[in-house]
Amino acid sequence: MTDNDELVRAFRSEVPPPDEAAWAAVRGAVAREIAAEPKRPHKNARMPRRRVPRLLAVGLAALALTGAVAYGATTLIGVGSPAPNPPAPFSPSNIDLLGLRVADPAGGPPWGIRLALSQGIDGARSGVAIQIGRIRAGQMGFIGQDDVFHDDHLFHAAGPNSALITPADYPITGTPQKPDLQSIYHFALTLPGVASAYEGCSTIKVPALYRRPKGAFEREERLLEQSLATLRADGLAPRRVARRLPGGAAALRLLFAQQLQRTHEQAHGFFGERTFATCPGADLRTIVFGFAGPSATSIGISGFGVNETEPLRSNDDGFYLFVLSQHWNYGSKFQDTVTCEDGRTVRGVAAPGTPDPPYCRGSG
Amino acid sequence: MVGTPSTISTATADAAVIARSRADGQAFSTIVDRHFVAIHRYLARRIGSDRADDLAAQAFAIAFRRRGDFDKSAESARPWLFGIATNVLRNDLRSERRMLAAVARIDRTAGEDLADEVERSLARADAACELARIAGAIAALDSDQRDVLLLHAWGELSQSEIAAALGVPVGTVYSRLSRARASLQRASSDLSASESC
Repeated sequence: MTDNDELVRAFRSEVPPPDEAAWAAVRGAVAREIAAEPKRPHKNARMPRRRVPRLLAVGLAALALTGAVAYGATTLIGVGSPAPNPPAPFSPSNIDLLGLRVADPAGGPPWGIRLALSQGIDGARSGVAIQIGRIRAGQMGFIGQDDVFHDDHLFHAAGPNSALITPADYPITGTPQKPDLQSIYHFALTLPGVASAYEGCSTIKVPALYRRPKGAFEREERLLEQSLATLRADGLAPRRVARRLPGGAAALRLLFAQQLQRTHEQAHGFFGERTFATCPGADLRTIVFGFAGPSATSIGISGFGVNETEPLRSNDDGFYLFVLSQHWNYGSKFQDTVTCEDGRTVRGVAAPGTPDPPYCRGSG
Repeated sequence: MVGTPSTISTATADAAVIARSRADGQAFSTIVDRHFVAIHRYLARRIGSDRADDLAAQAFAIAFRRRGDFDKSAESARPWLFGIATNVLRNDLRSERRMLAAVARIDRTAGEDLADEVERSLARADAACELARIAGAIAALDSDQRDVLLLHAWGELSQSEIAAALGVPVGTVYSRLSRARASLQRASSDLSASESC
């Protein structure tokens, strides 16, 4: 045994034990394997061999392939009970599922957009809310995963009030039968999401250099504030003082990482964040969506390593949707480039509160 | 090999449980309950807690699929599971190197980059220098040596268990461990001679 052995043994010895999310991940992974096993013969199992005439085998394979294509991936998921439909101040009088379909990075039912039209709270003014979810057989809904619907991996149809997104007031003119797309205010938003397309997965964002906290996520910010106050009161913070801080080592690491990140960002620009989630990291999504106008023919987003372009078809009604495979900064300012049917390109920023995101005005 | 009664009992139970799980998949959860903490801890130390969740889950899913390959005469499933975890980790080596490099960089540069007195005082801590030195030295090892060193130091496996986990002769384990220690010693001497931290 050498001194270096002891140092290696001690290095990173403070890692926290697996939390509930880790246990849920492993139990879920093994449960999925157990569930899948009847479909997959065991490696060492001896299967009875049947002789199938070659022509018949080719015919069966072709039939199976045709069937798979015809039904598509959406039939591969079972159907569960409808999602809750809580009462909402916004009561849609008409719901319009747009033709836009976007694949999920992990496969399964595609994503889509619904417009929920309403007379508004006071009945005098009409409005429109956006609903985003997974689409199965022409119906919007959610998948039972990421801590919702008992992780049953079934499709749960959305009710009229499920998952209404009303980030701002988007008034329309005319009757709320069919949206008057020319009069919907153009908008662009970026929201954090999960593969289920429903709520349920708790997340916290911390600087890229911070390690997972030992305790509950929600305590970290409070502990950090207490720690900062103690540090400020003490002036210089020798290590013995640091040990007495309310947040202990976890809060100090967070403080340390935040300061370091700020310094790096001042010198080199955006440095990065990490998202800790109660659901598997592979289920995290960022949803970028908006309205670029009916005469838009394509939309591209770029920034933070993302560079994607989506053609817009006539049945997309001028709306667009990107489903990215992880959590980017909430409110990331992706650069949007919209191409209009007359060949013009309009560039701008897509972020909450952006006064004028790119948009094809008029009919082009 | 002769073990303590408790070791033999657990080992027998592991083999029996895995055999039972071939007919009843649910029985495999006993293996998860027994060994998940150790595997997760090993992966968390190598690659960070957030990635460890996914990789540990992946390792046990693979173990379930390959349980037919488990050597029934093995004393415990632990080396077998560490072997699978190490293989899973190899697919994510870039993340591990990035993490080790980040740790080395943070603690070396903290004193230079951060103006705030809190950071300065913390960055001066001797432990930070040691952390940076060890992280840098581990990152510089080749992946075979790193696997052996960390299975030994963090997985607490014996040389013969490491050999079983990695599917290599025991002599190879001894030589890799020896080379890894020599590399660490060299890195330690170089840094002590060249830097104040």
